Amino acid sequence: MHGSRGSVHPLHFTDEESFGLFVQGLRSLQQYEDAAATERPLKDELDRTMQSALRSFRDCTSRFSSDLLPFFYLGVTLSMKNQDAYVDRLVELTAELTAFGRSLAFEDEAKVLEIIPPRESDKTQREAKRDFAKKHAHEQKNFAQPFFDLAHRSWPLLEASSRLFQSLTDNPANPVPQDLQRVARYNLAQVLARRGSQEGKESSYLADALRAVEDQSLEDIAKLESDAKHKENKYREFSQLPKSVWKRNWPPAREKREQELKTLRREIRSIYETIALIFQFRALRETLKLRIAALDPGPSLALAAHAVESVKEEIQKTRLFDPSFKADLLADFLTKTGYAKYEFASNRHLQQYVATDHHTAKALKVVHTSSPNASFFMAQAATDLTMALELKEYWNPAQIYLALVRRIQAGMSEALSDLAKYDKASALADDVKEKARAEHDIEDSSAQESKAAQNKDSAEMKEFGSKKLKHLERLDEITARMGITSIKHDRQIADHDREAKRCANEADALFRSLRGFPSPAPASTQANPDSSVTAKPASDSSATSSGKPKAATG
Amino acid sequence: MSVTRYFYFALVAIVLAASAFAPAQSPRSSHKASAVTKPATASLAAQSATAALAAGTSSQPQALACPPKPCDSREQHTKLRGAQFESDNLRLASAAHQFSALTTSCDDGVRAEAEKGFDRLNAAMSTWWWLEGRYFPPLRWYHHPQFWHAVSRSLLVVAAVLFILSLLFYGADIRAFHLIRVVWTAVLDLTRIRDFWFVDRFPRAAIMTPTDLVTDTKSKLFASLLETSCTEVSHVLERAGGGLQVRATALLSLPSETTSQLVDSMPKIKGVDVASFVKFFLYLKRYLGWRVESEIGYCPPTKQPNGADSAPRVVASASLRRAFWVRGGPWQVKHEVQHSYDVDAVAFALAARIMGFSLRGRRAR
Repeated sequence: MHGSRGSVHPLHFTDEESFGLFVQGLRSLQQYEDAAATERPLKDELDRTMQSALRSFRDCTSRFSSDLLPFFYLGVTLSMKNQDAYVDRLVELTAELTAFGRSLAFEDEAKVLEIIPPRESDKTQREAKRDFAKKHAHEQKNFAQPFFDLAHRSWPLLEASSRLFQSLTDNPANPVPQDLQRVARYNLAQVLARRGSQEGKESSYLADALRAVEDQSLEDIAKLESDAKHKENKYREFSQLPKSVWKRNWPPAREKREQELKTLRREIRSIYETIALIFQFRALRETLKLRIAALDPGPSLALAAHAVESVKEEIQKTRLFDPSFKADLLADFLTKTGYAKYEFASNRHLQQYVATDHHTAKALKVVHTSSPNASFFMAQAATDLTMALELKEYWNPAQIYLALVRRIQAGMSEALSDLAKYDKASALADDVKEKARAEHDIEDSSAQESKAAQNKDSAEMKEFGSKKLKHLERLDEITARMGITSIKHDRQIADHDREAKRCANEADALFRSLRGFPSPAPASTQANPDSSVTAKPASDSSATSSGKPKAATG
Repeated sequence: MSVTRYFYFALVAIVLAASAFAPAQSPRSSHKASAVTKPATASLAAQSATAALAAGTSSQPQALACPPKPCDSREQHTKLRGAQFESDNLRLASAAHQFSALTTSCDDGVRAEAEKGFDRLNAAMSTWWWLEGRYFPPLRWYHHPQFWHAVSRSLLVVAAVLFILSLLFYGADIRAFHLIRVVWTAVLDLTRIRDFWFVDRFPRAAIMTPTDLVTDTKSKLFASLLETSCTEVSHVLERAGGGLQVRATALLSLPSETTSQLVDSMPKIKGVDVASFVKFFLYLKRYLGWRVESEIGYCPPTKQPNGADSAPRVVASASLRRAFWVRGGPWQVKHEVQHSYDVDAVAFALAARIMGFSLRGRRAR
């Protein structure tokens, strides 16, 4: 592919057919983005536009291998298509996701029970509870195995996408312009970063991603800001109405002035874009370092966490030309940190390390909880991702990870509910036994009383009668005590169930939105004013309008 | 006598009367008639004057009493030159009239010239080109003595105009006239002039009314969409570089500088020409300038061998032309659609190819 490019100018196209296919693909991609960025995206529309974009870019790249931009956008489109495949997989594995959440919560509980020394009185009970939590954690983890396997399976679309971005970056003699090469490098790192989420083999993806962004030299922000300021001053001066009547009214002079203003505006925007791009690079670089450091927790973890935080502060502090730049940067930053925190939730080594290292705990803002556990990091991840969605509404990456986190949180709440039920059962166990004993005693007393009545022995009758009364009082007392204990536990159970339901609903709504809603039923043919209009829908739309989940293609 | 004979005699009488009196009654009717009748009239007048003298009565006693005027030779020659002038300018009828009058000139030389001139004109006015030229004047122009002179000068003017126009439109492309172009560009910045007058001041390519390939085709809608799609192509590219990130993913989009370069290189396509050409200049401009010619057809669903209906399709093609040259395309696009109004995607696909032509052009240079 590289060899065939020769000395072709990178921004030009072989012929108008190539350009036509490229722009068609770009338009379909933008239509997909527009369709996805609505409250109720239609599945048909999403499928149609995505297929159209893929078809155009694939056609273009296969027929015109020397044109660069179609390769770049094919990489972007494949990555977006992979998002769809990933969402489909997650929806298929809803039960496993929930099980993963349950296993995390049970593990949290087991860990707490292990760490906090039990009192002598309830030692056995706590050991039993710990065993219960461990056993369930193990069971749920086994059940959630297909979800863990997602990280190990191959993702052909992501692989193809990374190959395409790689082809635009790795050859030093490649005549790809610097701007395009830099953006392709970022995208390559981003794609690789999606692959690496676990320890072991997948961590090499993170290292590759970090290498891709670290190799990229970035301009000095201070110098860029000074350039921007200089150009802005020039623009301000230039945008004043000229004093000369001639320059103000002579059309060629006016046009020339407008052209120069346009060029200045473009230059200013370009500088700020470069600044924003540098922040994107830095955000990706620092979060990658943080994720890599988290795999083997040590002193570097605190440094990485501080570096990530400093990037956020700089983004907030820096003045950017377009307000949407800042929103985009922050949303992207929060999505990255949200995803990192989601990873921390299942990283027990990290949690142990943070619990013992004050600096790291402070850097990760773990101050209010003595034990940073899965629940804590999952809640933190949810907060970051929600904030990202507030900044950039209906942004698919944030939506996907938030749906994932919410589904796991639903499982965690279910596990907490189970634990509360276990506590309730444990707390009521003695009372239940005592109640049964009291009931048995009452039955005995009643039997003896009736026997005495048959014998007409009034003394015995009185004695057994008073015993029965005592037992009844005892039973009432136990029942009352059990009621009080039950209320306390029932409230906890109800809270956890409610939370589980809320998280599950939120996750389902996000998944539904990501996959698209089925199209409304077509109107009757009478509504069509033109008889020449064919009421029959196209074959592809009729196949997908049923709203059935599509088969996973990832 | 039968009625037929009466009628025959009446007709012969009318013809004789007409031949005898008509020239006298309408002397301007024809140069031949006037030429023939003038001497006859003069002889009749002489005869009537002689008869009157013989009868002892005179209708014009003063005229006869006057002594004869001396012959003014100069005046006669002036009249002859006037007749000659009329003849040279191909106003033969007037010339014949004047020559006829001069055949009774008192100057012998003038009279002889007038008779010769009259005979020459008489012969000329009897030719087929003069008779047919009454209905088709260029046949008479050909016999004008200045005909070839006028033609050569007109051709020279047309050639000069065409040369200037061709320099303005095609100067940059004519490799064979490279030297001329270099010299011309040295004197005046040709590209700037051309751009100023023909690119900036006018739409660069005009979209002509599309041809309907089949009935039920929404060609006017297609033409309108073709125009808006040309603008949309620029918007799509601008949007691609407008934001920092691709909207639906965490990947970055193209830098705005990159897309701006692409947008700047787009040609200008404006105007749907649905009216007839009424102004010559506009027609010339459109013909010599860039224009988009397109055709579109809607193919309704058809039965397939398995009995199912195939999806309806829209087939369209467009080409970019300049004068009689096809400079781009023809590009063909077909799309499966839902109904005949669904021409949006086809219009955009063609517009993208039209706009892409400029990129290829730049690349070739």
